[in-house]
Amino acid sequence: MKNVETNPAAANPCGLDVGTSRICLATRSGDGYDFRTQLNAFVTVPHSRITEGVLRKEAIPFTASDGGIHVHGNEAERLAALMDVETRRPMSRGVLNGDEPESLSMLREILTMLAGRGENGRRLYYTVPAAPLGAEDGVTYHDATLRQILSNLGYTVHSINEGLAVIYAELEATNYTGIGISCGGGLCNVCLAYLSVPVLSFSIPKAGDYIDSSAASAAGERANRIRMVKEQSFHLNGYCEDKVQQVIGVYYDEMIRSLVSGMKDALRNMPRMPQLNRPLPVVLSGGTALPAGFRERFERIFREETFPFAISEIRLAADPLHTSARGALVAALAEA
Amino acid sequence: MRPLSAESALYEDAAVERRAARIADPVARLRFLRRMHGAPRPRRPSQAPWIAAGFAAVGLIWLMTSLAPPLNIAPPLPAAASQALMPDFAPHAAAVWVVERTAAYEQYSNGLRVELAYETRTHARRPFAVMAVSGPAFRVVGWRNEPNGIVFHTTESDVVPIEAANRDALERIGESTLAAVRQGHCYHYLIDRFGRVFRIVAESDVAYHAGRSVWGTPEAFYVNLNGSFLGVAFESSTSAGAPATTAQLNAGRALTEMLRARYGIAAENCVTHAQVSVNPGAALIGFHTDWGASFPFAALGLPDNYAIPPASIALFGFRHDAAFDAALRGRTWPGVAVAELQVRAGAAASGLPMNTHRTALARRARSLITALHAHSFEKEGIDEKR
Repeated sequence: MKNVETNPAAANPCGLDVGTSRICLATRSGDGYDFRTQLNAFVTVPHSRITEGVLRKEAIPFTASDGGIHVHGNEAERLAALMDVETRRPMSRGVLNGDEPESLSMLREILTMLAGRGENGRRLYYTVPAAPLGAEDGVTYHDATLRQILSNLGYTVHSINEGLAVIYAELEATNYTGIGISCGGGLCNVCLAYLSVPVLSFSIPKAGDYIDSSAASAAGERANRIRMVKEQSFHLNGYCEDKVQQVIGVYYDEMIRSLVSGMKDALRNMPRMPQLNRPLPVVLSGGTALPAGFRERFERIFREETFPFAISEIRLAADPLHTSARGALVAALAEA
Repeated sequence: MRPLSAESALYEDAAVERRAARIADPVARLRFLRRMHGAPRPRRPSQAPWIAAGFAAVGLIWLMTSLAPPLNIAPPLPAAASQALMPDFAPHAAAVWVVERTAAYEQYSNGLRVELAYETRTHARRPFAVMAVSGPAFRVVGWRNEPNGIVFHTTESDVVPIEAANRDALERIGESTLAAVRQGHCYHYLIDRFGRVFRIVAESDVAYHAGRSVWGTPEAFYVNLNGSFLGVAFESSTSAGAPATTAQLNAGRALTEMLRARYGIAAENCVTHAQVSVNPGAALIGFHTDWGASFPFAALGLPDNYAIPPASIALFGFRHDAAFDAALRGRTWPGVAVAELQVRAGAAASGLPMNTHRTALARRARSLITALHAHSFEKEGIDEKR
């Protein structure tokens, strides 16, 4: 970056993927990237000075309030598993969780822990979801809140659509033309871009959390356990070891069909479809796209429908968990 | 659905694509494409500072007007305040003194009345060790001669509904319970179902209420709490699902307040029998499970001490078994989870697998508990009661 030396804000920019399930910070490290991730969750234990001392001594991040001691970030999941309770979530369906009284304070704590202070107005691009299909815009407050939190940490901030971030991370070979899909915890974000310009973007509210809660309800299990099975041993290839995996498979199919149907509806209702003279690549990313067989199942369902453009390939991102963060970082780097 | 940036100039731009394709660096290529499509070139701070200030002012005004009160975004907390310690629960037990003392009862300034009809003696408390963790071993950091805590019990005696029709049964059960605990020197105090407080064993003496037990922190912990903690029992039965009555809770609060004031007992050292009881041979917690759940800490003016990580797990690596889980009906204390984190951190620090580290902790603990237990009874010359 030729102006790095004279523009401190351009020095070492970063990308931040603010997901419902996880928050990931991407920074440049030589020719590669560094990623740091924290679980976007917390668990509350009753207050005790001794507990505070233990947590402080073990460097477990927490805050104390009238409601008790809130352990946040990655340690929250371990503590929740030990206590056999569900974690509490600052975000739901891609945006701040209005039903969680501690959502704002906990999100602030996790972002502060992960990103730290922004020295010299360090540039930071953070992801925001697109509005859900057919819904009024519900992301303005979420965007403004993130902007304020991160600005107060000293960063020069910009938001970027999460689906567009996928395109920036994965589609440099096609001049950032194609479809990026991020299948996260709260939402699936879709973006169609042409030469880096977003043309169409939307989200559907069925994603990882929908699968976890629906499968948990159907199988009589905790959502935490469903998530662990899904992340550790689940295959979307028709082979089901037990009822839990079978139920997860059912809701995965439902999510994929909703996603494809949403894409079809969005493109059909688009007032002016760009005249594209080449087939488009589709890139899938996000933690919900990780299970083996997801790409194949998505392609099979996708190809059952008719779209107003040809598809060159449907592939999984090289690093699905970090794609959005890396794309946000690329956007930050490209601004210099 | 929100279509973005639908200018016709953006489409079919073959020349732009050809130029972009010649840029090898993907970031530079993106920068080029965005600038070709009208993305503003960022101004350097050194150029035209008055322009930057003007934009900042406009931006600030926009921000203030767009983030109107309905958004109600709270300002960030100072780092220190976000982790400020909560005020101590009932931090300063007000002084409680004896208003009247007769052969039959003691009346205290906070309304507590202690019945003395069943009071008995065992043997005087001897100085007990305050232990601390010192690297791989334990060491004695001090000696005390006065009680340092309270262990709450249930008598697990028969319970009948408190109704006028059951008056005779209630009296009979109460009297037999009192006689039994007096004979066994089981507790220092018993609170019957009507809220009457009976001193059973003199506070200066040892009551056999805790058995093999552990409580405390790495800086100060106690083993085998008969001598170091006072035993207070509620006439109730957790196994029969009969929690303490309102009268018992009121009496318990007054008694706890008096004892804490008299001996300077910290709130964190007022705990339940289930929390302190251990089975050293099997390296298990919860050898006794009375008040393993639902102890009314708040009603007694205490914080929720289920949040405190049990020393039996944190320091000794003990586990809990299915019988314990069943007794608590799945309501594991939050402190157990925190203690497990401590054990895990200790394993990581020592570079050992979790199970190996836990086994080493338990082996060390068993030796200590057994040695202290045998030592105390050699001195006291009294058979174990519990």
